[in-house]
Amino acid sequence: MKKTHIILLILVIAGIVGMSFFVKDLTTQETFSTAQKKSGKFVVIKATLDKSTAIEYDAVKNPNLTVFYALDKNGKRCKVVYSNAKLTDMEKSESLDLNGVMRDGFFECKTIQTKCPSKYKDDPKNQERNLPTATNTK
Amino acid sequence: MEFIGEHLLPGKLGHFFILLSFVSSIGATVFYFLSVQKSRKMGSEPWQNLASTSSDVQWKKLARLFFYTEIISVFAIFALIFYISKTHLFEYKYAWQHSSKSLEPKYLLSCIWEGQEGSFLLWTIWHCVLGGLFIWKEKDWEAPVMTIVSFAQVILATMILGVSIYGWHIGSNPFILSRNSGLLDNAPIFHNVDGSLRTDYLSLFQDGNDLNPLLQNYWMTIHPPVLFLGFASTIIPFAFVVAGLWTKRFTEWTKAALPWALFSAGILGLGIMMGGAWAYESLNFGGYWAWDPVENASLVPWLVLVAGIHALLIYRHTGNALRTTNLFFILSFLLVLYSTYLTRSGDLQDTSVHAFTGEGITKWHLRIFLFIFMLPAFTLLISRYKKIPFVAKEEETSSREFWMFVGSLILFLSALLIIGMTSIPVFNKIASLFGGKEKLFTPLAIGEDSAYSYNRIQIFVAIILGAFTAFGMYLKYKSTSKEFLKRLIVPTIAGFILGGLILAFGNVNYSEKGYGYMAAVWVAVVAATYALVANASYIFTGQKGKIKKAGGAIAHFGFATLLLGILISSSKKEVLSHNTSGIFMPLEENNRVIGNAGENLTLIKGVQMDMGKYWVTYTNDSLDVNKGDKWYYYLDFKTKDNKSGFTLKPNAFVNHKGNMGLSANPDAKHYLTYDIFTYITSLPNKSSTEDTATFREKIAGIGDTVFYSKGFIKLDSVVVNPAKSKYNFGPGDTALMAALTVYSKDGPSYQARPVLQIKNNQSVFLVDSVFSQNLAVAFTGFQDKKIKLQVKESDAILDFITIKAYKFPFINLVWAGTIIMVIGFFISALHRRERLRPVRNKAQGKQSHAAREKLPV
Repeated sequence: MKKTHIILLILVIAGIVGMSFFVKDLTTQETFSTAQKKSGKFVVIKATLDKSTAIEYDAVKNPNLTVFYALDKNGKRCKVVYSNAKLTDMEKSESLDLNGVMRDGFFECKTIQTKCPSKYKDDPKNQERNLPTATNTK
Repeated sequence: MEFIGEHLLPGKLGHFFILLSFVSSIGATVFYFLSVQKSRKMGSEPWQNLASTSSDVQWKKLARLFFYTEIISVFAIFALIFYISKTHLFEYKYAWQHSSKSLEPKYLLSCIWEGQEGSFLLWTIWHCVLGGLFIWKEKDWEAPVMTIVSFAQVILATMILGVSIYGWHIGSNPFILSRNSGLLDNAPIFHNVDGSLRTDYLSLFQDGNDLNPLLQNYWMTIHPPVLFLGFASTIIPFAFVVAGLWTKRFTEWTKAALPWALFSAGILGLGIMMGGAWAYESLNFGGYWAWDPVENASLVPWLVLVAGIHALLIYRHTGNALRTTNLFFILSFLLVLYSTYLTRSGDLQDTSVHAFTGEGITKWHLRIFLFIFMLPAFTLLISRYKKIPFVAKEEETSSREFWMFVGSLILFLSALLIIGMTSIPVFNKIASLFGGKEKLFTPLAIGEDSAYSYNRIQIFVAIILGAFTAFGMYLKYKSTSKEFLKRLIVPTIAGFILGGLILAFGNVNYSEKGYGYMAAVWVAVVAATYALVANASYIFTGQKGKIKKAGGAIAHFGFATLLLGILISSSKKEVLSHNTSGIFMPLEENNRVIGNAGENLTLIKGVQMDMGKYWVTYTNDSLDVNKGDKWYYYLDFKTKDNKSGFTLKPNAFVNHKGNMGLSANPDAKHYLTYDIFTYITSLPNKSSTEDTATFREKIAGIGDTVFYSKGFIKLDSVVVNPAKSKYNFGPGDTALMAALTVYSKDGPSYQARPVLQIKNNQSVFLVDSVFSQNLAVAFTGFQDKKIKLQVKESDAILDFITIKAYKFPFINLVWAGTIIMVIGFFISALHRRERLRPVRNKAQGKQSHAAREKLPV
């Protein structure tokens, strides 16, 4: 099976090369403080929306700019600039995965993944909220 | 304690059938197992000439009875869940959680598989159907294969068992009552002062939680059953392999397994692409594929299964690659289980848009499901690996099997890479077990452009597979003569010319990722075109147009079409909604933003916007009356040369069921060669501008006036089927339009034209607004020869929407390719099945099939 062995070898090498490209692309989950040290590098930050400040989004003025504040897991607050429409479920999100680059004084966000109770309807908190209570009936 | 209005019988019956299905699947497993062990003791070739009195046959008959009981129980469970959802028995948590009174009947089935329990039930049902079919058709392999299928049924039954043993919760019972599920515990309204539940608690349930709006799409009624049939059917090739290893009949199963494997690959492929179609039509990631973990998790078993089929074909024709076949079929089922764990345990939640939580069915349960199959299968494979026959002689480079083998290895490698990349959260989880307090290890995440991380590896897979499928069919098994190779010349030249033409005139210039990647896309386009042309011509030259035999060529032709569709539609995707509105405010200097900024465009009602080839106007919106909160937004697209136009109606659930925000569904206009696709990304936030105004009902006859804060409204007339209006009714619609004149205190008067439209026996209200008066008027019905008007005054009338719009060229190639490929798989499966029959009667037990069957695929 000489030929097959050669082919296998080539494929293994191809696999390693492919994987190494992928690994090179991998980034790390950071906090705002650690991201500051890696300024200019693409990172992922697990954060929550700071609900004490309103999300700035004016679709008439610029539909591609959303500015808000987020808290990372250590509670550090940072301004986030997201060059896209405000995500529709952002306010109710439990957490936000911010993918982007730390700049001077703000986090430039490229994509956001939200974790929302509504998408996960098995979540008990959301179920309680949706129960037909006096304020919540239609 | 008795509670008023509860229907407890369906739940009791349901749980009884769950227990019955659990017990009967154990029975089937045990007795099938005994039957196999008995007959193995009886001699080397006990499979034929069995006397009906021998004990293994007795065991088998008993096992069959148990399996039939299992089938009945599972269908009964399914029917009962359907019943509680259909009759809105909200005393059951499942019905409350997944349905609502306003849910359209066509989505009732989707309620069943929205929940974890229901989707496992769906899987179980398909095992029952496949098992029943197997018992009927595959007598030879019934006992060992059905042992494995029945065992899977035992594990699946534990998923919905819902019992607790020593504090361990096993599975989640879909018939659990709302009051027992903890659902009502923190809602004081249901309780008496002393904390006990009110006996009339049920009357307080107004409505269910409803099906997730994203799943209220017809694809969701059809995609999960097909996909789960695909998942469920991968157990058959797996069970054949394990049965062969177990009974040491290493080669005999291969013939019977082939049609099952082909069927499985066809149906799984169809299910995956239906998921793509659903994503395309109802998710907003702007495409049919996003390398989302849930999608990857279904693709990977398919890739490995297809690799396994190719390996099996090699074995059937040459005697090579049997060990590889064993490995691939085992892995494809195990990957289905691994995927189930990945997507349903909640471990993936962070990276996927549609992973499920770990509620109900626990992570450990799913992990056990994987390991309980993995350990015995691998133990058997490793311990008996050396006994699996293999051919020492090397394949010729000119033989078909050589290239098929390399091709299937590449499919396998591609699958490994994809699942490896998808498993990053699992690696993080495992690494964090060792890392202590996350000091040693920073959790990893997929980089900047996750789709590109996949694409730039898989593009090479596409190139190689495209080329292999093109010439592979022209080669012969064992070795190919030069004469034979000459048949390749014409298709090769034609394929390259056509590919070149596509590149020359198709404008496939995807330079976003650099010229290297663009060159790779070009090569892939040529390879796919080559495969398409070569396989098309092979159907006629190689198989002389005999469709029955050409399943393989048809599947490859479909695959090539799909590949070409993927390449062209994704590299030529065009953003139409580039912000060209003129009201774009440039960012401050230090807020410099990179990336694909500017894909959102805000449309102000009535104002025409420039979108590439089109002028687009947001003309109107209407409320779906059955769904109180589902709004349709009418977008008029007109080509700039004014020659043609169409209306798209993307919709959105606004604040559905008390959830803040909107959940938007896209709409698309389909043309033969491209689609125009649009969806809503933002609506004016009603809550932020405190739009507390509600519609107030007013009754008015013709000539009557109705007052509002800034003036009055006069009803001039009611027009039936208004011919000329801004609404453009179709000939089949019935519409009543109220012609109103709004007289404001300041002087000017305005026209308002709310419409009550009857469409498919449902009324639709087209609300009309007078912006300068902040006034919205709806025409909602009749009362005593007068009409009912709903009038709303507010500061925040919805008068603009923000959308994204794309042009997808040649998306139809993707769908057509999929359909052709699936048809190819099915033709092939039928053909293989037919060829089984005469052979089985003549020469049973002999292994000379390789020599006998030299027919190409």
